[in-house]
Amino acid sequence: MAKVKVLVEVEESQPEAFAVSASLMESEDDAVRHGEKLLAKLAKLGLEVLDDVAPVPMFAPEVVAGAEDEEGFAAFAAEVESDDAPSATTVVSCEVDRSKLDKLAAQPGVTVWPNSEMAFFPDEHPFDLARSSGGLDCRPYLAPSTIAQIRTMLGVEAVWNDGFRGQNVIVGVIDQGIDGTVYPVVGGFARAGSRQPGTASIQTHGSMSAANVLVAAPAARLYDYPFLGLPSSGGALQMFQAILDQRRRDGTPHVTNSSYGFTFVPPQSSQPNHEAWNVDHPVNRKVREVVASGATAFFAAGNCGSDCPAQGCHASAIGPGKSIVASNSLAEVITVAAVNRHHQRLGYSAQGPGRFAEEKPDVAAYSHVYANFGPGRPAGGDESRFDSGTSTACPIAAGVAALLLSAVPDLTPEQVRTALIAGAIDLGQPGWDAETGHGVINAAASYNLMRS
Amino acid sequence: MRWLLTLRRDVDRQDLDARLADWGCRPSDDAEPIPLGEDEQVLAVEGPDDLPDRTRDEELVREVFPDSEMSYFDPGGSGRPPG
Repeated sequence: MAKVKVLVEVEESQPEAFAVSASLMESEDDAVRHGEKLLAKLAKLGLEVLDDVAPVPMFAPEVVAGAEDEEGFAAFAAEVESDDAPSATTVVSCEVDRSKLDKLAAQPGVTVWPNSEMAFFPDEHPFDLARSSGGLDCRPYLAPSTIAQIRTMLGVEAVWNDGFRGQNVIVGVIDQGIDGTVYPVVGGFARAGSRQPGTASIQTHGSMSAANVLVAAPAARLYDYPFLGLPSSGGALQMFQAILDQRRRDGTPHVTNSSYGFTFVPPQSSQPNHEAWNVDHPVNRKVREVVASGATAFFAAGNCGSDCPAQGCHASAIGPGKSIVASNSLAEVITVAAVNRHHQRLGYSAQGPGRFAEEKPDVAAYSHVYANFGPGRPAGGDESRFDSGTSTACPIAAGVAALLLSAVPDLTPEQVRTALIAGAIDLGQPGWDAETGHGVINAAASYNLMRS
Repeated sequence: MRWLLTLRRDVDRQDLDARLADWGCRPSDDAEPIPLGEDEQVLAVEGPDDLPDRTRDEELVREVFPDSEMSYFDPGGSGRPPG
């Protein structure tokens, strides 16, 4: 016969119930004997007293609440030992044939309760799996993350719960163009005759950047600044001028994202005026003008890190100090390295120090996520397709900035940087390092520090 | 080769076009000059590799910078795993 576990509650007036219960918990044998004695009249029903739980006293409501001028169990709050108390009933853990349950429940003075199995609530926060000692993720890379996992790691809910989700903040995406039928493109710039804002394919790098901004700031809106063909200095110059003009007119966009840069750096002797060597190259100056206008500019660190450099990286741009060298090394911008959700640096993430400002990257953010690409995502694809690179980490960081700006709209670019650094989870050696900067950004920590 | 020329803001456009022709240059993609700072502008042009040398003593041109191509920073191409 199938047996079930039950809790059988029977009457037992035990004047010093706490003392008895404590002594029964000391000995399994005594506990079983006590239970069997209590249930002796039910023996014919084949009850088997279990030793997993010692009989537990239960108390009458008037004992718990206290009668008249007595405090009842509220007296237990005092730091001195309280008197023992009389029980009204006792609960015994038993097993019984399922066929005899109804008969058992019908016995006078007996109440049968289910003894249900429960599960431990998972108390393993994703942070528990992310080591602050750092580490490295190289080929073959660990599995990508979901948006939900990245949002948890960023702590965005702490900000969302106060009503801020990036609303009233506009992020300008200087990129390959965005699919405005999927992502909230509300403006931007393109030269006459070229691709207009919001008209790009969902498969573009720009659509990927758009998806990544919205990871932390789903209510943010976007301006689309599509390059004509490959990104170039001249194209970037044109886009940043358009951004500056837009800000002159209405103060938007509030944040810009640039997930492009150099994978080849010519020798200084041959091109001393290259933007990787001359801080006053027009595009470097124009970026500074945009930041001076109050827009916070995010730049990807690049993918020519020494451990797993991306295909296409030239030797001139691979390794520490060699690839954060142009606009992404300006002191005025926020430069973003890439880590996975386990806080391991992605081996291609470019290493500082920066060419124009040494403490580059400033911070790190998450990459390798199913956001625009992957199963069930707007651009689709199987599990082998996902958003990657410092190209993804950068707009995720820009989205966190948009989230903070929706809560505190008047933050200057320098205040945004300070907030992100103050809330960052420092990896490895204390303080700034050339691989992940001041650490991995965390929206909750930055938000709470700003409010304190 | 593509270049970015920084020029005085008040340069006469007709004079500039004539000089560009002398140097073997033409504006890139019919680009319009982009203002820079208080008194400068930038013009994207296509011209010879030795344009910096050709314009070295020209009052019209303040400086010549390369207009370089860049890459998007997704290591495998959009949506592709890092190679």
